[in-house]
Amino acid sequence: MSPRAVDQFTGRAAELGVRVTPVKTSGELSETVAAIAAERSWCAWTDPLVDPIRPKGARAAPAQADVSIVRADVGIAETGTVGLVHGAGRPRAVALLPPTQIVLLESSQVVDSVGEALGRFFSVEGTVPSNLVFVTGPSRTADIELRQLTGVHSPKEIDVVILNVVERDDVEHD
Amino acid sequence: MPSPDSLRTWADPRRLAERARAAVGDETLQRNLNYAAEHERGERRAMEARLDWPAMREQARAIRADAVENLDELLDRLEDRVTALGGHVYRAATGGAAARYVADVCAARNAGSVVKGKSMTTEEIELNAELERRGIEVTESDLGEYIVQQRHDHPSHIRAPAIHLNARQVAELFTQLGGKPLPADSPEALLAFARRALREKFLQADVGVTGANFAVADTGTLIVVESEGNIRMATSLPRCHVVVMGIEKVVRDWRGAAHLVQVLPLAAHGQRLTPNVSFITGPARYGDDGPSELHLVLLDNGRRAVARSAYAEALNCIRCGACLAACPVYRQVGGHTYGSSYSGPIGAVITPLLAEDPDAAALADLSSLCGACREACPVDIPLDDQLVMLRRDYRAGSLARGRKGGAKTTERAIFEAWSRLWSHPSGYRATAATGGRALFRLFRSAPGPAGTRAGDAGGVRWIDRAPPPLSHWTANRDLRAQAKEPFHRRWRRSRGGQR
Repeated sequence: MSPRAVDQFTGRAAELGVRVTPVKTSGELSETVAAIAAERSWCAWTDPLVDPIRPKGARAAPAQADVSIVRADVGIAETGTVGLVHGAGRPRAVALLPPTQIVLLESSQVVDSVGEALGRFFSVEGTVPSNLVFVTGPSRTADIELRQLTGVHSPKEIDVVILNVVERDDVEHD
Repeated sequence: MPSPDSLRTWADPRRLAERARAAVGDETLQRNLNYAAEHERGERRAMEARLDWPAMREQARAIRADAVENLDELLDRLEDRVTALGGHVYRAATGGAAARYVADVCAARNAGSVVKGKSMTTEEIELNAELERRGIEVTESDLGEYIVQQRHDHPSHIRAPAIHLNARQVAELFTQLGGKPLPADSPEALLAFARRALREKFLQADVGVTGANFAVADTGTLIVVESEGNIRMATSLPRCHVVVMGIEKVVRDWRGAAHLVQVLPLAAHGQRLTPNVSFITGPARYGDDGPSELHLVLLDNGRRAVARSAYAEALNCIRCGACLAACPVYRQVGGHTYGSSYSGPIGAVITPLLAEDPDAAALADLSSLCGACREACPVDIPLDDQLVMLRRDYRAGSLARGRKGGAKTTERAIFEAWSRLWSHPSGYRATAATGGRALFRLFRSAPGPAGTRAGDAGGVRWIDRAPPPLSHWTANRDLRAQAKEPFHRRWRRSRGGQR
């Protein structure tokens, strides 16, 4: 939740080839995502952060879309991971099929460690989702002659856009 | 006698030496194994330098030991949780029972097509053969497993099943499968072919079958790690998900699981987390559009017996493959030599235990007892001790003869005579110097090749060839020749520097 955690998250994600773009307002978030998606076909989850976004390209079914826009429920600073929870308005195919994925996250959702991240879902009865996925960089394989390749089945390119939530202490009083 | 339902080695354990020799002569295999081993070692070293690995290791061992020591309690809790969530749990006593259950589930859904994730337990129970017998099409979705399956071959490594193949062989296979020529020099083109072919299978399949790396007893959560995304596909797109998991993989709580889910990729190749980790808790709920039917097959197949035996710690294994990467023997002979679903040091230990086959204990000979496996193991399994125990318990014969039974009479007689002689100082002194020099004079010896005997001054010589029976030793090892004056004489002469 601290700026330090977001910095570490950004650094670790970058090591994996994941670009992290910080934004300050939801307006900036919409513009940034639309710019990343450009003219490409897209599909998206239903979510307050996602809904206002108007990409220029055509909306398409997950099997045809080039870009997916999803929202993470947690980020892990130590590993550069985003946690996706599947549920109503959050179909699996959208998060899986398109080769480019844009993940939205609020800075307040970034925790330090894997243990803390799992604690958010498992330490309270009744809030355990039926499917939680930790995504740490693009999909990879070295199965062909040990050559490292990205983009197998889950997305090849991942962009994270972090909405910086203003901390209480930073708010200026009139 | 091994029961027909227990783990079956797919190659005759008595022809180990033959397979090992063939492997050592296979250039592609050797090149890939060496590259993989160096790469993995570099990543492991870098990882251990930046983390408190001994502490992480001890914590991992404790979590695993707790599970193995409390299997019944934790499995009961796991079963209760998964059932309460709407999943089905089946306790399979044998591999055959597990395979038949999975086939029954598929048949009940009129499933024509099944897509699979990489799972060694499903290899162990020969699931694909059972499904095919029932007329159900199975496609392996892990890229390496897919390649191996399409070639009608066997996987040769826990994490890189196709490590024994080169890109040209893969290109030939894909060209044959797709009917269109594919270049061997473009791995991206080969990958694109596999991605398209497998996507069709994911979208069509009625049932997805995977293993699980861990199952959390407290929450009923199944955890599956992967790099490619094929597990997410196989557990999201079909309407039914079946998990086959060894009973020892249960973990008490989510905190323990959080630790292990990190230790696994760290031990495997120094990676903090695999690209995808799925935490599956019951069939789809709360509007999740994943599979509405979930089956968990808990496989015993001899594991409970191991848990009650002196080999119980072998069940700590989290299948990271670190012992394979560390083993100098594995690095030379590769996975196929073992002829079992489980290769490397851990394979050499658990195969004879699960297969109930004394012949399989010959795998314990595939070791120089250097102990690198134990050092590499993130859950501290005393693999080197267990290999020695297996040799003793099963009286595995010598690798060269490929025979089972007790140590040969000559071998035993030589060791006993030597032991008796050297139990007395006079015997030792009499033979150590003279015997050594005699050996040196009798047998061919040569100075070490330049650069390989660094630090040797005064032309130290080596015995690199001896007649039988010592030829069995010198065929693969050099004996350093005796010093001109043995230390005990030098000591006596100088009285340790005091006159």
